Amino acid sequence: MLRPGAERARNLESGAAITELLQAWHDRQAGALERLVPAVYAELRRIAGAHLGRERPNHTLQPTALVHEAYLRLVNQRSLHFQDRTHFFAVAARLMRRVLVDHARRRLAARRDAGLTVALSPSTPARGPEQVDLLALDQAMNRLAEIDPRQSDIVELRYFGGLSVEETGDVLGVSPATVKREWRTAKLWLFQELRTP
Amino acid sequence: MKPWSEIKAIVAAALEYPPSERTRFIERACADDSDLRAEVQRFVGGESEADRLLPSERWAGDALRTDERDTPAPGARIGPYRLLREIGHGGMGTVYLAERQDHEFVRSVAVKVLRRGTADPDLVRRFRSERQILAAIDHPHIARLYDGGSTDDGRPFLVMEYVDGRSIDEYCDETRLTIDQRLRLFQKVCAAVQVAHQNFVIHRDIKPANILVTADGEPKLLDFGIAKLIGTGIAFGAPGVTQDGAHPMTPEYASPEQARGQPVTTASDVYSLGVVLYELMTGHRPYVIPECDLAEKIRVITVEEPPRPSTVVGRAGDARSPAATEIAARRGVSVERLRRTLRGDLDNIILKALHKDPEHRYALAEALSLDVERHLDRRPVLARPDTLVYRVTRFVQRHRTGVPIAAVLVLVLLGVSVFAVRSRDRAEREAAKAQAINGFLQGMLSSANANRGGSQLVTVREALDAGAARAGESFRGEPRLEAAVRDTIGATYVGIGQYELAEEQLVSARDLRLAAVGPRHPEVARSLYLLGGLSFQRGDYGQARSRLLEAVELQRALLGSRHPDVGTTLHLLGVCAQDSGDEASADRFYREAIEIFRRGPHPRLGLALGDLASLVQDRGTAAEAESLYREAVALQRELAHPGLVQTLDFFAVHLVLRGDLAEAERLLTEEEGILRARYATRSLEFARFFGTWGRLLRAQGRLGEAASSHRESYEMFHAILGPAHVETAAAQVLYGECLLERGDAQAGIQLAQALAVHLRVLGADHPSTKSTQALLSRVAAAPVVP
Repeated sequence: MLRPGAERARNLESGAAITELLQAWHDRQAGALERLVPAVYAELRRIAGAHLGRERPNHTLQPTALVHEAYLRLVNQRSLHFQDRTHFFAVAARLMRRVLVDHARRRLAARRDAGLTVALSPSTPARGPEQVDLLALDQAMNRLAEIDPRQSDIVELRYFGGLSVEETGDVLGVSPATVKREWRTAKLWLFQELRTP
Repeated sequence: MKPWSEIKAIVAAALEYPPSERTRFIERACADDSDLRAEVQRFVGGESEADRLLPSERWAGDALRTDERDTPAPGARIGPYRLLREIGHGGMGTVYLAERQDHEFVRSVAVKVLRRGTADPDLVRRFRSERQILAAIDHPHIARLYDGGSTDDGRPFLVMEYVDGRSIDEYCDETRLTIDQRLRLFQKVCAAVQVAHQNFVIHRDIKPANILVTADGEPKLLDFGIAKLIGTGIAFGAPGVTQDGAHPMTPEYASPEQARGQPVTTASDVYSLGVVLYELMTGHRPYVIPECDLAEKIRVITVEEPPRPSTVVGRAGDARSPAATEIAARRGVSVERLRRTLRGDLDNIILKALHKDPEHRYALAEALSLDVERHLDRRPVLARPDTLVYRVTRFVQRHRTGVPIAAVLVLVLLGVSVFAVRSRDRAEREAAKAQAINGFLQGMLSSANANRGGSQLVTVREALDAGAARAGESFRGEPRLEAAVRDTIGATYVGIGQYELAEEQLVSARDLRLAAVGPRHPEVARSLYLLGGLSFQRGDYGQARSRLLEAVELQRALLGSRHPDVGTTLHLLGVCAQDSGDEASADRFYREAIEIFRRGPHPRLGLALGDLASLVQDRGTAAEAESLYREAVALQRELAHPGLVQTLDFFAVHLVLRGDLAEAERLLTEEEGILRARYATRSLEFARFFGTWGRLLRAQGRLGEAASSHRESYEMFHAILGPAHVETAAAQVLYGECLLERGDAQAGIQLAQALAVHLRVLGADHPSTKSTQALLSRVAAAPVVP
């Protein structure tokens, strides 16, 4: 087993590396984003996996915690500027969307497979009417991005990235009032898309 | 169809109106374009459903979460078990009443089907290996674990004894058990936990829902050993702990070490038992654990002191708990009577079980039960309230922002403990006085807390200011008590670097004493001692020395030359001499102090030995330094003395310099364990530790990791002490030195900054300044990789 000290020293290393990558990305260095993504993606998957495992409804996650948690784990924030933080959030929200949609897709596949061999039948799926189908939502967001890319970004940052209105505004460079207005109308558009298959 | 941008503008504007006025607005805005109007109406009309589908405060992952809850229905079979009905639904999965039929014999069992993905795939294998141990626990108050496996679709399940009962809190309330009856029932629970502990099984998730009471009034503990088997109870997400597969344990009952993700011991179960007892007695839980914020959850569990049980009786209930009179009625007494019953012994017993530090809890469930027994027999119990020293130290640790903790420890611990020892030597009257002071200081700490609305952190400064303002009033006519209180306040001011205010308090304490007892009195010597300590902290070594010499002379004359107080003053004289560069005197003072401390032995013996070791180590007598360190470490380990952290750190540096890296690593690992258990992650102790850890890594040739560790150390010092502090600069030198060795161009900047601080604070002639200068000149010479 790895000694805690050794592990910590290594985390420090990778934290510093990610800070550097973010900086490089910020400075528009070629290839920086490609190198940044896998590390952030892996971390988000880990965090999302941990949070998805919790069932008790009163343990519902404070959404903003997620990307912040990833951020704190990955980045040595003392040496990072405010600007880098918002960049990070933007990347993380996009990756989190990918994590969750992949997760939903895998689950669907697993359920199809299990359907052939299930022994514990009949089973009662407990998904209520308020649960959104993430795969359908993802596709609807792709369509929204074609006619109104900013609205699609806002949904991504808010709903997948868990960012607050203010943080979303910071990332996109718009006022909180604009974010609120766009978020409200985007939800209406998506709802219409999702109700008509 | 109109483009979305056009529709969107009208939709957004319509949403600004209250729902009743929207239709009118839309009609006006769309004028005679009926297609547009219909479109806008359609979008606006979906608002409430859209909000339900994509609520603003939700996260997309929530959509995947409840989805996992598909469960087998009654009637289904799992192996030889037929599920009859669902009897519980919890974080881990669903529990069914089931029956097994073999050889015409029907047996009722409880089958717990875990959620998919709850446990790692090894569960079944681990179950096999643990089953022997779990099967060995045969106790009437522990539910048996019979079987386990995985269903055809890969879901793990466990088969347990079926217990028909209610959870212990419900049972106690519904049958209106009195306090004494509740205690007797609780003792049975303790006995069961004790038996499991003797079989090396820790429960890890004790809570009322896992303690059922059957109709005949016998308790049964459920799920013993299950937590470990399926990976719950490990942590509920402490940062830095791998969470894959681990599941949240119930935070309300989680011990501080569990919250931090640290190893769980039998004392962790004792803690959870303490929470259960708190609840059975008062009807309240010791804390309100916030729902969402993980860091805040951990903070509450690891830092917040639970209120004394007797003080929460009669507190206005929140939405979940019934009114005070109802709580009391369920225990067959009035509110006032309940409060009086709990006050004293039961308060102390419960708080001892709930102690943040596992070492201060009852070591065993049986010990907790025996103390309850003593209370029931009206015999004196073992639990005592925390000493003032402990509380003040903990308080300062909790509110440590910018507090040089070592200084506080040295002064406060020392100051107050001398006082405490003395009051113990004397009669009851003195003990009562100590109690009065204790009460005053605790009140001072908590009143400062209350002023800030409870949850916010109070600064030490606020607490002290409040205390300083109240002391004169509170101890009118009791000058010696007032002086003792002002000593403590003054010493703590020293700790947070408020030297002017400290001086004010310490001087007024001295004057009070001079007026009350005259100049030749041990308490006046104590004042001199504390004032000497203050001068030392300020760096005025000359004044410190003369005050301390005056103190020690007085103490020798009044108390005898072998009195422990003489030893503590000599020890501080030694530290003072060492820091001012007078090594010969330091050596003499330390050795005299050690000789006195050895008679006791005095708790400070370890510290003094460590200090002497660091002195002789500098002079190159390595063998003596090492044997002194070894003795110091052994002593402090035995006492669990707070100075152990410092000694381990000093010793590790010594060993690194001597090249004994394996031993150094062992010591640092021990130090880290203590730090993680007792100190804030951002503290001077951690900053020092990172520095020493960096030295070790560097000596092992792991330069990259060493640089990271040194950087962490330096940045922590920088954040806590500021850039201009000598200790920050010293850490920066280590960091720079490490960079230099790596050929990193940053080295020069770091060393130059540190040198500037050295020159300003220590002067050009100080050895540290010179060695930094030498390093910097090596940078100029070194072939640096850009």
